[in-house]
Amino acid sequence: MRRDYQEFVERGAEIIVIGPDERDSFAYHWRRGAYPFIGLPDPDNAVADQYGQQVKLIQMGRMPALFIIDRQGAVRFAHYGESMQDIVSNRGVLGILDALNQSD
Amino acid sequence: MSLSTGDPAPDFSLVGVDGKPVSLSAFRGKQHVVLVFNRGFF
Repeated sequence: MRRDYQEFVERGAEIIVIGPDERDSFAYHWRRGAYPFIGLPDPDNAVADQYGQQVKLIQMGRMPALFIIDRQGAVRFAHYGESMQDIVSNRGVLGILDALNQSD
Repeated sequence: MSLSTGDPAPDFSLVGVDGKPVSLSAFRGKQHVVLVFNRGFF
């Protein structure tokens, strides 16, 4: 997503990444990666739970999830990953943003 | 509870790595938001 960030910006979107890590650990990784978007540590998983993120005990963890929220604050796309590898491609997200912008 | 297309996105406010609070509602009327959980560090 870092590589394609400009393409998200061109489509009028901001990326917000929410992580389950403790604040210091999250901030360390964030600075190391020099990510251009917004990073928010959520150590209590309050927002993750609000969004219904899946927790799989057998895989010992929280699964990936991705949401596209339009300017009106409505969910326009929701993906709940079934495994750590089950994520939406950048191309997929950009395509949905294109469709949103066309319907505006 | 999971969210579906068309649902209002629950508002939230968290403090970012730069120490500034960020809320979802601040983007309303301005930008779309791609909200990402647990994608790993990429």
